[in-house]
Amino acid sequence: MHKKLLSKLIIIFICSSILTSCWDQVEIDDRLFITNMGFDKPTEEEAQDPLNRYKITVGFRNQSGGMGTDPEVGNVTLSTVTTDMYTAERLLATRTNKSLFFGHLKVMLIGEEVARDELLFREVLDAVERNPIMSRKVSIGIVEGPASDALELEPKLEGNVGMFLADIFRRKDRTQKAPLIDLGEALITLHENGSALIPRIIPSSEEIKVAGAAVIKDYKMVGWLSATESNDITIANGQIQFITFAVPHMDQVVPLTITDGESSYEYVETENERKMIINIEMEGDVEMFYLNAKEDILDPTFLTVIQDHASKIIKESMEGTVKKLQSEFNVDVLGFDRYLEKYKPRVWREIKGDWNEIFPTLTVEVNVETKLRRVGLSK
Amino acid sequence: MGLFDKLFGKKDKKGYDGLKPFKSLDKNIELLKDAFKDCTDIVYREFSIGEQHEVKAALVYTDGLADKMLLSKFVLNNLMISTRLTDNETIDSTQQVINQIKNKVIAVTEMKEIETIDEAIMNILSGESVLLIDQYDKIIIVSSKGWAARGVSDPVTEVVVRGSRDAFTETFRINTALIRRRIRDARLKIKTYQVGERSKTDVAIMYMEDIVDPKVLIEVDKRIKEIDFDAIIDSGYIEQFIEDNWITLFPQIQNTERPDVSAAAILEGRVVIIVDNSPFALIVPTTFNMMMQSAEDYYERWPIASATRILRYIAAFISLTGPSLYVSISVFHPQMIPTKLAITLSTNRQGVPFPAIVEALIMEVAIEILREAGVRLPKPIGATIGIVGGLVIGQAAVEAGIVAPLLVIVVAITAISSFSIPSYNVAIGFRLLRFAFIFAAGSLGLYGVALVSLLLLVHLCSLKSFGIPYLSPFVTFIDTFSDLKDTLVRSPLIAMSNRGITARLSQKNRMDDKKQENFGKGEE
Amino acid sequence: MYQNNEKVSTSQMVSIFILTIVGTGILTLPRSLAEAVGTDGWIVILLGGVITTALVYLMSYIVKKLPGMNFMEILTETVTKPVAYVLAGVFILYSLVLNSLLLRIFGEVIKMFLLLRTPIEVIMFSMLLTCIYLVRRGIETLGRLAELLLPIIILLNIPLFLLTIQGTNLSNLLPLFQTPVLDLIKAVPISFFSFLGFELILIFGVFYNKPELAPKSGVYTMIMVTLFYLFLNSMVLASFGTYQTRHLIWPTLSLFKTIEFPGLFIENVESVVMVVWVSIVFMSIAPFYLSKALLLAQISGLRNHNMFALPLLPIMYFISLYPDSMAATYEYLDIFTKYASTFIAIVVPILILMALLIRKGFGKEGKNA
Repeated sequence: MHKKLLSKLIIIFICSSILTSCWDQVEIDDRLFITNMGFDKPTEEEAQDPLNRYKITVGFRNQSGGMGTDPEVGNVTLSTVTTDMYTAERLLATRTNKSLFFGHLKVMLIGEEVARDELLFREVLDAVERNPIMSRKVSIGIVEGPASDALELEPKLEGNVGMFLADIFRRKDRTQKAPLIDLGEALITLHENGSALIPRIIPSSEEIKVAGAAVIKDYKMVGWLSATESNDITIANGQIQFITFAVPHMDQVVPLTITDGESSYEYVETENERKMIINIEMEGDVEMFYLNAKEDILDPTFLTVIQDHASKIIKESMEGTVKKLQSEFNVDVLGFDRYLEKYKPRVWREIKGDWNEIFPTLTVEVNVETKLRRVGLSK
Repeated sequence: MGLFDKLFGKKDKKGYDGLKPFKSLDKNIELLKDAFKDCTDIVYREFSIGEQHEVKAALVYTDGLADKMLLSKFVLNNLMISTRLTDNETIDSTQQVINQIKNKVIAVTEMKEIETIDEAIMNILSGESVLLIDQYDKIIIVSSKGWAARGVSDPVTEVVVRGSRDAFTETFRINTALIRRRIRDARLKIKTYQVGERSKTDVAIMYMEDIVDPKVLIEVDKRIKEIDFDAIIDSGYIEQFIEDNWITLFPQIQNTERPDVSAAAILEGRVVIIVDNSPFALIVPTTFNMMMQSAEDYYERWPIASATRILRYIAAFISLTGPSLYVSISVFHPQMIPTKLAITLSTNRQGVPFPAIVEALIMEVAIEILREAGVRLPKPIGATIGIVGGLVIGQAAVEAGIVAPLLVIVVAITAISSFSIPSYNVAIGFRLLRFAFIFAAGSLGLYGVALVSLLLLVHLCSLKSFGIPYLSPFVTFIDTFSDLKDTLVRSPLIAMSNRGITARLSQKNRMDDKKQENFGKGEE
Repeated sequence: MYQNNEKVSTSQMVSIFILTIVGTGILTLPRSLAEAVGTDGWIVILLGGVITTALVYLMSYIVKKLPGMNFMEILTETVTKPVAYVLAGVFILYSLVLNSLLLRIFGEVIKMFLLLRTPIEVIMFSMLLTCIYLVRRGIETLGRLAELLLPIIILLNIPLFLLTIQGTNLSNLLPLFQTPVLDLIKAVPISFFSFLGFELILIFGVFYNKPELAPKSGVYTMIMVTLFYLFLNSMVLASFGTYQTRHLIWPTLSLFKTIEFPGLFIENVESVVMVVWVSIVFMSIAPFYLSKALLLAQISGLRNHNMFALPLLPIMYFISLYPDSMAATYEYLDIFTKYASTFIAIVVPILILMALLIRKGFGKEGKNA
C-alpha cells in the first residue's frame, strides 16, 4: 500500500514539475549578455531627484540577426539614471525585449566622479561582491571623465567593445603601465585597509588608453598616479614582468626589457627612526644598441655599467613615488602594513593604531639590483 | 472424468508417463501412431531382420530431423541386407537376434536403450531414431541427428578487428564444441537440462569445476530448475527468468555470440549457459564493468586497450547526458559557456520557435526513429540511411529554423557515442535514460541532472547479479583492489596474475610465478 | 541466500563517514574561523580534530565491545530500557532538526548559485525525494555509493584546487600564534560543528563487517577529515587573506569563483563545483535520514525501516521551512549545535561507556566472588 501511495505521489510530483516548473528557464536567445558596465554620476538636472544616484551604462553585443548575418549595429550601449544597479536592470529590461544577464560581465568602469564619492564607490563595489553570478575576475578601471565615454567607443580593432576592453585588461604580461588587477584582488586590498590602486582609463575619440592608476584611500579616490609611478608600485609589490625602459649611456640610449624580478621588504628599527627597506632584484635583456658598436656588449664590465644605470633610474623613480605616496596621499598601497602584520606582529600591534601618522614618517630606502642576462642575436 | 474435472481440472497430458512399451511390435507402433496423430513428418519404416529366423522390426524417425543417409547406410542396410548375407545358424531365439543387432550389426556411433514410451517420443522429436523390435520390450535409440543448420560464421553483433571470427550457431552441440575446443581440460563440466513445458529446449551450463564459486553454481541450478514456462524460444527468455531484478533497465546477465568470450568467462569462474536454437550464450554473474569490455581489449596491446576503455566510459557518459547538458547549460546556466560562444549561440538561435527542451526532445525522437528504421532495412541501404538521414535531416532542420545548429552537433555526437558501448542492451538502457535526464534538465537545470544521476547511481549500487554487486570492482575496491586492473585500464597480461571476484577464493592465482619476471624489454 | 545481509565493509564505512562529516561544515568553516581567530584557524581545527577523534575512538570502542547490536540494543544493554527509549527519541529529534537546517542551507546556496527563481520548496523537496530512494535501498547501497563517490569527488576536486593555487599567496597565512589561548579554546565549538556526523557511528555500528576494526578505521576517518579541513582553510586564507574572508559568507564557493584558466572551455567553474557539491550534501543528508528511519524501526520493533522513510519527509520539509531567512537558520543552527550536539556527541557515549565499565566491574567482581 505504501509503495502505491509513494509511487503515485512521485508521479504527480514529476508530472507537475516537468509540465510547470520552468521558473528559471530562459532561452539562450532571450538573454542579453552584458559584457561591460559603467557607473557615473548623473548630470545636474537629473540629480535633482534624490533617487537618481547613478547613471549606469551597460554595453553588449548586438545579438539580433540570425546565423551568418551580421547586424548593422555591432555594439549597443544603453544608459539609465537611477538608484542602483538592480533597479537599473529592471528599467533597462523595459527598454529591451530580452532579459539582461550579468554572468558574463567582463569589465566594470567607474567614472572619476563616482570614485571620488566614498559612499557611492562603496555601494558599487559591494553590489558586485555580493552578487553570486558575477565573477570575481571582472576587470575594474577608473575612467578619467565619465565612464560612458569609454563604453560608447567603437574600437577599430575589435568589433565587440566589451571583449576589447576585457582583453586590454588582461594583458598583464604585455604592459606594466597600469596595475591591471581584477575585482577580486581590488576587494581584497580594500578589505584590508580601505586602500587600493585601480587602473586608469583614458578615453579619446578614437581609442582607449590604459595607463596610470587611481589611488584609493579610505574607499574613495584621492588622486592619480602616472604610468611610471604606478609601474614603480607594482614593481615594489612584486609584479615585475615585461617592463621596458631606456637607460641613457653617454649619447646612447639603451632600451632594456625586464622579464622577471623579485621584491622584498625589510624593517629596521632604531631609536630615532623606523626604516623600511625595499629590495628589488630584476633581470632582463638588452633590446637595442647601435650597429657596429664600439663597446663590446658581451663584455661583463660594460653590462655592469648599464645595469648600474638601470638600477639607479629605478631607485630614484621609486623613491620619488614613495615620497609622493607618503606626503601627498598618505596611503599605503605598497603593502608595508601587511608586511609588518605578517612578519613583525609584535611591532605591528604597537603601531597599528597610529599607522596613519607613522606611515608618512617612515624612512624608505630602495635598493635595486639589475642583472642583464641576454643581449639578443648580435654583438 | 466428470464435468467438474473437464472444466476445472488441470490440462491433462496424454498419459504416456512411464508407460512401458509392449512386447508386440504392432501395439507399439499403434501407440506411437496415436501419439503422433496428424504428424505427417514422422516416418514409420517396418522391415524384417534375418533370413531364417525372421524378426520383424520398425524404424521410426522424423523426416527433416534425422540423417536419412546414416539411417539408410548404417542401420537399414546392416539390418536388412548384411544380416541376410551372414551365416546365421546360431540365430535361434529372439534374444540372440537382439544381442547380435546391438553388438554387431548396427554400425552407428551412439546407441542406447530406453524403457518408456515418452522418452521414445522425446527422442524421435529430437532427431534420433527409434528401433522397435518385435517381442523385445525395450526400445533401441539410434543416434541420427542431422538437420539443416547454419554453419559457423562471423559474429554479427560483436565484430572485432583482431580475434577469432567464429560465432555460436543455433545448434546446441556445435556451440558446446566450440567452447570445448578452447578449454581442453577435463574439469570443464557440462550439465544439461530440459527447460520449457512444451519446447523441452536443451539448456546446458558450462563451468570449470574447481574455479567456479559453488554458491553461484547452486543458485544457477536452482533458478533454471524453477523455470516453469511453456516454451523457451531464445536465450532471452532464460535470461529474463533467472535475473535478480527484472524491473530495471540494466541487464544483469551478459549475452555473447562469441565462443572466445565464453571460454574466457568460464576460466574466470563464471557460468556459461547455452540454449538450443539460440546463437547467444548467457554468462553469469556479470558486473557493469564486464559489459563495457570487448574481447579485443585482451588481444591488443595494453596502452591502446586502456585508452579505448577510458574512451568508452566517456562515451557512455556523453550518450547519457549529452542533450541534457546542452539544455541545462544553455537555458539555465549560460554563465558556464565561454562568452564568445554564448554570444554566437544566442545570435544563431534567433528565430527558433521552440524552447530548448522541446527541440532536444524532437531531435532525440527523430534519431531514435531513424535508428530503429535502420535496423530493419537491408544492409547496404541501412547504413547509408543512417548517416545520410542524420546529416541531411539535421542540416535541413537547421535551415528550416526548427533547431539550433549546436543541438544538431550535440545530438549527433550523442548518437555516435552510444554506438561505442560494446553491449547492446546497456546501450538501449542508456537511450531510454537519456530522456529522463532531458526532462530533469528541462525543469531544474544542472541541479536536476545532478539529482537524476544520483538516483541512477543509487539504483546501480543496489543491483546485484547472483550475489556480486553490480558495480564491482568499483564499489569494493579496497578489498579487491587487484580487480581494478581490469576496469578503466587494461593492465598488461603479466600483471593480471589473479582472477577476478567471480572466481573461488582458493583458485585466485592463474599464473605460475616460477619464471623470473623480466618485463620483456628485449634481448640484453 | 542473496538477501541483503546488511553488512558493510570497513572501507565503505570510512567513505560514508568522510562524506557525511565533510558535507556539514565545509562551506562556512573558513569564515567563522577567520572571524574568531584570524590566521590561527589551523590550531582550532587541530584541536577540534583531536577532540572528535577521541570521541570517535570512544564510540567505536563501544561498537567493538558490543558487536552486532543496534543502537537500541546497546542502550538497553547499558542504560536500561526506559532511558534507552528517551535517548533514542532525543537522538531522532536531534537528527531531524540538524538535517532539516542543513537542508535549508543547502537549498539557499543552490537557489543562489544555480536556480535563482525556482522556489526553495521545490529544491528541497526534490532532494528529499532522492534521499528517500536511497534510504529505502538500505545501508548496503549507501556503503557502495559512498565508496563509489568518494574517489570520484576527490578526483574532480584535485584539479579545481590546483587551479586555485595560482591565485594564492602563502604569506597570507602569517602571522602565526597571535591569538590568545582563551580565544582559541572558545573557538573550538566552531570547528566541532564542522566535524558533526561522527555521532552516527553508534547507529551504524551494527553494520560493521568487522567490528574489531572499528576504532582504527574511525580514527583514520577523522584524521582524513581533519587534514582536508586544514588544507581547505589554508587554501581559502592563502587566496583571500583574513580580512576578505571575514566578509564572505561562503568562502569556499567564492574561492572557486576566482579560478580562471586560459583555454578552459568552462567559463565560471563554480557551476561544475555546485554539481559536485550536490552529491556531497546528498551524502550528508542521506545517512542522517537513514539513521532516523533505522531508529524509528528499532524503537517500534519492526524489521524493515522502509515504511518510515516517507512519513519523515513532511516533518523535515516543514522544519526546514521554519526559519525565515539565512540569518535565522544560522542562528538556530548555532544554538542547536551548542546544546544538542554536545549532549549527543559527548554525553551519550560517556554514559554508555560508564555503564559498560560498571558492568564489567560487576562482572569481574561476580567472577571473583
